[in-house]
Amino acid sequence: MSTRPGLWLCAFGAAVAVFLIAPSVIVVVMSFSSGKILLFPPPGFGVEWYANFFRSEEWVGSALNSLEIALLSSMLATVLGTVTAFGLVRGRPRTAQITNAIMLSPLIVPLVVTAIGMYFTYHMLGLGAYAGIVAAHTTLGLPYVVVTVAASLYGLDADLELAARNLGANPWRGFFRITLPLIMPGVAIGGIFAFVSSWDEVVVALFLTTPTLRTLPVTMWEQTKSTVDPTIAAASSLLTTFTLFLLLISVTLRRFSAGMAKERVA
Amino acid sequence: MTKNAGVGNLRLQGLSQLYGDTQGLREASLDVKAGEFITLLGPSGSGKTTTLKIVAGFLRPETGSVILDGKDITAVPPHRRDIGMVFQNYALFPHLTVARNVAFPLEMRRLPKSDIARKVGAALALVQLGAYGDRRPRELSGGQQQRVALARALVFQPSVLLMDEPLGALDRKLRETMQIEIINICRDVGHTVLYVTHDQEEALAMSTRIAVYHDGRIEQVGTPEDIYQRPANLFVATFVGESTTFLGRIEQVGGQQHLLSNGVSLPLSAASIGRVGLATGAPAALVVRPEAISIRPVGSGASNNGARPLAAVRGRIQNCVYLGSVRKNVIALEGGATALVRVAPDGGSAGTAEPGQEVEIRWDIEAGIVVSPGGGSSA
Amino acid sequence: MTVRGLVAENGAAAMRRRSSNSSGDMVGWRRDWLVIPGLAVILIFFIAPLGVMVWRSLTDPSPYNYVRFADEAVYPRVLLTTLWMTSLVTLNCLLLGYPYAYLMHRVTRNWQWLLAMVVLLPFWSSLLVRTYAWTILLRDGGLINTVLIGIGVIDDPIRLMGNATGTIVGMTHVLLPFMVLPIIASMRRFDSDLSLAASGLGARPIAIFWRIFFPMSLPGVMAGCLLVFVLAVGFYITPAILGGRTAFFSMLIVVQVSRLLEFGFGSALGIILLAVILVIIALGSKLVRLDDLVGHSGR
Repeated sequence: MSTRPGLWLCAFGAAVAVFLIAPSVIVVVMSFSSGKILLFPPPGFGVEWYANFFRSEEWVGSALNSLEIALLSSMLATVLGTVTAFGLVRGRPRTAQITNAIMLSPLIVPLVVTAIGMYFTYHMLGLGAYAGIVAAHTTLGLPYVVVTVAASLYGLDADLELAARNLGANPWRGFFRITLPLIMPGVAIGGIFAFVSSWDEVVVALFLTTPTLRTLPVTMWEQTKSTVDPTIAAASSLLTTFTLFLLLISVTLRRFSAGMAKERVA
Repeated sequence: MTKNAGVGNLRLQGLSQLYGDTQGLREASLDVKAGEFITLLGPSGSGKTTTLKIVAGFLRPETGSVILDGKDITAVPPHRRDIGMVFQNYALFPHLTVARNVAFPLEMRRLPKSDIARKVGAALALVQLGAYGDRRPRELSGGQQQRVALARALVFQPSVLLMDEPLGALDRKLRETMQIEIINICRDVGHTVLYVTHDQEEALAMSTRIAVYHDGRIEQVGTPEDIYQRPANLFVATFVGESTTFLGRIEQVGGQQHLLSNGVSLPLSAASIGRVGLATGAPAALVVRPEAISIRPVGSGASNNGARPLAAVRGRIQNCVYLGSVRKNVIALEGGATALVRVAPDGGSAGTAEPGQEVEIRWDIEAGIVVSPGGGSSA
Repeated sequence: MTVRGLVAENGAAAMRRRSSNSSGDMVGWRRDWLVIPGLAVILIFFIAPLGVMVWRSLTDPSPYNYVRFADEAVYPRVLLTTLWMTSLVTLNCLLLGYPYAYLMHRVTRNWQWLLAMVVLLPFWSSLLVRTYAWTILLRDGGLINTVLIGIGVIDDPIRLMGNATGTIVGMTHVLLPFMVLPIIASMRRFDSDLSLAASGLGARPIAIFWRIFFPMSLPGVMAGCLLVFVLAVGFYITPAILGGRTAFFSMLIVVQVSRLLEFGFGSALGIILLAVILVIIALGSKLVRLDDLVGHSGR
């Protein structure tokens, strides 16, 4: 495979890359349009729609709701998921196998099915809209945390924990002084995953939110169906920028933890 | 660092660990006196590391007990044992500096800050890394990391120090330097040391006593000389050091006891037989160390001119390996055994030996070691 | 749906790499109980709702709900349409994703990083945003129609959304990363020494590709297809926005529950969809080593 890839392959790859990226780019371009409706090419450029976004109580309010719910549920998922991963990796294999299957099941069930089940059940449990959506998003974020933290724990030299015990640390201090700092990149990546999964989640939110408590994706969903107002393009661009930022953090963290692993081997 | 005189008497009583994923251990017992440097030697999977884990408290034995200075600590959790340990891959905490690594056990014991600083300084000075306190473990060489691990295990003055193949990851030269350094440091501090290795040269060089493991059992405990010169059985004899081995039966031939091995009759020393207490007719093995064997071409005339009786066997040189200071000859003997003989490259007529040549090997019968053939099959 | 599924099987692989943990381990002090809180949350807030759904599908009004699914031709037909469109999406993803992954495997490190970011950006960004972006492109007055009319290829706008085309284009875009990442992972295992050895033995590059490289990347292909298919069958947002009247099975479920308030029948349809997915996974996992589903998002 020492030869350079052929021209056709390069051209095809470039086309696929355009296919992947173009929609996001076009949304950003459109969000700076000065036109009243989504016309391409835009008649001129301006930041009117961003101003509109920040003036609108509906948009800003639902963005703040989303932020709050995503922060809260990802924090809950991170703590719960880290503890669970620890029990999985350091417990007995048989318990781990069953637990693992159950913990990962939310990733397999279609969101529509999950959403309807939750819609029925959370009423019966007496959960309000806010508590319900936080519970739902915590549940949906948990698998990501469990998987990433379990992966970092497997990558951790088990002797480090034994060494801490041997040097006089009880199990708790060993965990907080040695294990936790070393798996922190994995915990953070898992937390970011959980945050993004809540932040972007539409289907469950559609069923659990009420007109008085909407998340940003729900507001966008409503707008997509009813208007062609480019404010939604501005909202989309903001979302994409935010996500890109989180992606960069996670890539950096991953490099960092990969670097640590390499040093340990060396 | 102060001497730990008088503490560190460790007694392992009938430790067994037969179930679970760890390598098994059957009824292992060992008495270690304060200040001893004991090596646990054996092939991998023979139970050495399991023993160490039990002493450290990482594993609770199914039966048996661990007694330290008269106190049964079998059920004491690892963090309350005050036993130091150097791990195979050092297990230095990668996110802490060297000084913080060494300070860790002291912080866990909630010592005052000033005491911690002083003790860490002293421990790092002891391993000649005084200037490296601010570095991260990854910035150090393998040998330096090894020393940090040693300093960290010693800084809280444990009564017993455990070392699990601590030199396994180092290259040969560094390993030899570190062997001497470890011995010196441990002697200075006066710790009891339990040292796991599968390297028999390391065991012979470092230990006051060696415990030879095989299949979860301790086959023999003794000084390096004991183990090498007076092995308890065939496994110990063949695992520690190189040897030429004959299997056979003890027979009385003309007032002298011989080993009859596939038609070859080899005279045995009475003292050696007496030590193992084997009777005439009993199956036995004869082990001869390479340095005890001399070699000469067949028919070179010169006969037994010494006062001491010699044993002799004929054979054909199969292989010669030049090793610098010695030449190693592999000889196929009459009766099927294979002999290993080391000679100086310029060692007279023997030095000119070539593959295919018919030779006779000889040894002082007092140098032949008689052992019972049990206790393991091969090295 | 952004990051769903890709990491799903990660754990299964990790389970296999378990460190030893013996019965007499004192350090582990039975840490199994640590899984209890997380497990409880999943059981109460996720598994129980599925149970409620099963219960509802059988009692509201009766198990007749399942008979009704089979009796009314529209439901099985939509399920078949959904499976057919899902197959097309999977095939599209494979046809676009394999060459892309192969290119990524062949280029230098810096290009590799760039191509990876191109896959990861959509992978991370909101499903809704990306679907919305396609409405800008595919609408009657959208970018593609404007351009095509502008250069004179067509006179009147062609319908690119509100039908199966829209759904398939949008879903292909959304799911393409889930195909590329497992394939890349399996290609990465390919030892380039192997192809050097093969060319040393006189094999031509095309022969090397088809005889050695392609078969060795098949596990990743299988994993990618299974992942894309399973995720696609349950899609709701993209078909709802881009598909218009072309019903996707999940859209039927939502209509039953939120518009017709047929909770029992809607539940039954949901359980049927879940059963289909479980069957696909069961069949697929016979062909795919679950380890190969470990695609990973970063690196």
